[in-house]
Amino acid sequence: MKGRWWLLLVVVALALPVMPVRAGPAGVTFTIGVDQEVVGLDPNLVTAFSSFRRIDFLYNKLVRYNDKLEIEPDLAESWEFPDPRTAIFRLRRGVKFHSGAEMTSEDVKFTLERVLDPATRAPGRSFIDVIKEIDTPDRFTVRVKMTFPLASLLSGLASANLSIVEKAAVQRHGNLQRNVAGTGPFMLAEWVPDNFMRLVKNPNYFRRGLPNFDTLIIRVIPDQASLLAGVRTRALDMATINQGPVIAAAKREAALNVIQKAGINLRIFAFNTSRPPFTDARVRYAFSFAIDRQAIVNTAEFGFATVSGPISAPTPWALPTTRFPSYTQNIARARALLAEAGHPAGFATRIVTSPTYEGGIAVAQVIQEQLRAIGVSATLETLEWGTYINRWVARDFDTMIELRGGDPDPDRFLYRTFHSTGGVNNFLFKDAAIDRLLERGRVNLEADARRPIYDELQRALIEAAPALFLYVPMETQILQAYVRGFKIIGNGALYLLEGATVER
Amino acid sequence: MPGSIRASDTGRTPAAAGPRLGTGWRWWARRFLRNRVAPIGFVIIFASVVVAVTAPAIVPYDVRAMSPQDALTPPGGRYFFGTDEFGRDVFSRVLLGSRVSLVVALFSVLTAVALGTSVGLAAGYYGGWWDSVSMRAMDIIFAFPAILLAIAIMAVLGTSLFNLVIAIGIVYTPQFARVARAAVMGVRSLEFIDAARALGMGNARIIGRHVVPNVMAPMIVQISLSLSLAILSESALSFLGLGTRPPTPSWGNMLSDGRQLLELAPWNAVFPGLAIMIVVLGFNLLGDGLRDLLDPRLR
Repeated sequence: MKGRWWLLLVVVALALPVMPVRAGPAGVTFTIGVDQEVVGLDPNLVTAFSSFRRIDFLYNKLVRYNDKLEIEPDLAESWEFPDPRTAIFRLRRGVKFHSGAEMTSEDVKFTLERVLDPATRAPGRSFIDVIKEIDTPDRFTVRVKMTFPLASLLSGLASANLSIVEKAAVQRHGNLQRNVAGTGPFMLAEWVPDNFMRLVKNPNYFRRGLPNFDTLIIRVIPDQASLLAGVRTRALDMATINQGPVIAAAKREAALNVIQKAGINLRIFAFNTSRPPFTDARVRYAFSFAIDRQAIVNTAEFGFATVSGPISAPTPWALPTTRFPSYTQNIARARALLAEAGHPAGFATRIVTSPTYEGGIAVAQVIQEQLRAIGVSATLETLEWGTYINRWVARDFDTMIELRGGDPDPDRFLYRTFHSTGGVNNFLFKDAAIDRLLERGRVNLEADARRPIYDELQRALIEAAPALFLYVPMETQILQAYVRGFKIIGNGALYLLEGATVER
Repeated sequence: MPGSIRASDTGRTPAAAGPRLGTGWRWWARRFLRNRVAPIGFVIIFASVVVAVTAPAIVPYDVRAMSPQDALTPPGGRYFFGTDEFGRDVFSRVLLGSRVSLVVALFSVLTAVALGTSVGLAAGYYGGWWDSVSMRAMDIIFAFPAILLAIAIMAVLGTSLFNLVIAIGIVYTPQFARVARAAVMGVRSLEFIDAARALGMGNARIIGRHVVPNVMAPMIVQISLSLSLAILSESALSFLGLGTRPPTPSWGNMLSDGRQLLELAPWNAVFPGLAIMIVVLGFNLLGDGLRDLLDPRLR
């Protein structure tokens, strides 16, 4: 008898680990797969696309873009411009930070001042640096005074970099790279770097009833084919992908839902306009005629992109590309331009590229091949991502393949990119006429007055060609068929997932 | 191979133990052919060298020419091995890719042999502090995983074919140093060396005339095995984007590009992968066969 008693104990001990552990709080768990881990979560400091996609769930801005790329209220309920140099924002009442503290005009003022302070080195500073004064007439009103009228002010405030942070939390932690002090639909619960991040529902979220998921898990799987496999095996409910072959493979799968929308990020072929022979605009314009943009889209992106000019094609400001003569490949014209510039036989050059998606190595290979037709022999400098970024920062390149973050408002992308004083003008491009157009475009608040300016600017940029504008890649998500109500936004943001539901 | 025999007329050497053996090339050829695996390896290597040498003349398509309308065509018909996402012919690229693989493998192993053998011979022959210092240096190189070290060297030097040869060459140097040193230690104290010295021969001549021929056998085996490892290293580095630059095809970068297309167009990864496998197998068979052939204990 005694022996059997012991045996029973052993059996129980062995069985214990395999018995189901009581699940955490019951509810809906939604799992997203992404291919990049983030370096930090401070919305006012980060620059990577991957970080923005986490901040989408954790923070809110004053205003945001809807899925038609129109501005809609977020933390600001309404706003007005009493005069072109003043904006007044009325905040929602009763919005709570994850800490439980109420969000007030003090936090908004603090956030804007934090971004404007040069010591913060905030990437969003250039979006709003026209602001010279912020005051708070009451707890739910913010008044902003500007040195000159800025048409893209709301667009700048809709950037993830202008997410509103909790003043007390920043003062407590210094920065928010590892802490979250937002108002967003989800709160950070657990973060295992390079593995997963677990977010839980914010019970006090100001959009009542949302989000529909109790737990949101973001898993990092560096290989996109594995992301697809994850969705296929139902380990993931959704995955963000951008590699053509993986998208094509996903589309063959009847059980999966692949949703796509024309994006606003812009693939460009950048010239260092301070290095010969690219100091000569004719050489750069010749390249524009030499390449076949649709062929690049078809091979490098498997067709999942739209040929675009300097203003992202899906936005209302973009001129149709048929208006640009150099968008029809014309080898004879390209050769003539090169001959005029003193290079009838072509020349040798180098293209900086990287094997990451952003580094566009496939694009580089197609362009390298297309340039052979005009006698230009290009060598690819394939760099590891960190080195690529360093070369970009140091402006150390002849030509370079890039992916630039676009914007629904033309000013925000074009001014900082092509103005001679622009923060990301790493073409070292200087053109007085283009500077003037950029300056006029941003201070006119009326769309009717801005339109002819930007029409002219687009044509001027195509001909001056500090970069060749190639295409805008599509934003792509693969979802399980049971996910309902998710809307993709052209800027890639994921915050509309708060309204999605699962019907398993 | 005749080298190790020549040493035998100086007296008792490991290579000449036992009764006198045939020395003509016919005798070696007979033994080589009687070996089960070496001839197969030799045929594979010979064939790939022929392909590499004649590749530019025999490829059916320009390996750089893109024909987007033919992108991802499956194998068969006009494209024997199918096409990649740019519409380039995979067959032509695999053929031409053999050049990079073999050239890099050959020159990096030659680099390693030159460096490693010099260090090893000197260390084994002279001994003393030079032995300690040089062998510890080799140990340090040995301590790094081969690929990691090669990546680090490539990261410092930058990507180019020449740097690839240097990087792989450095990585495989310690193996040759060790093999050479061990072989030299084996013959250093034998009587024929003493005899040579007694006859007034200088160190350089002793090493050249009597030591080198005796270390040839293990070196030849090591060379053929290292060639297969060097091919794998080149592929691995190109796979990681640190080796051969596009559009020059190499098996490694083809495999890397093909990996993304594994679901849509598996032929892009399968054929370069097979090519690597076959050539590496060839060198391994040849190396194993030569070892059996040259090892005096197995005669």
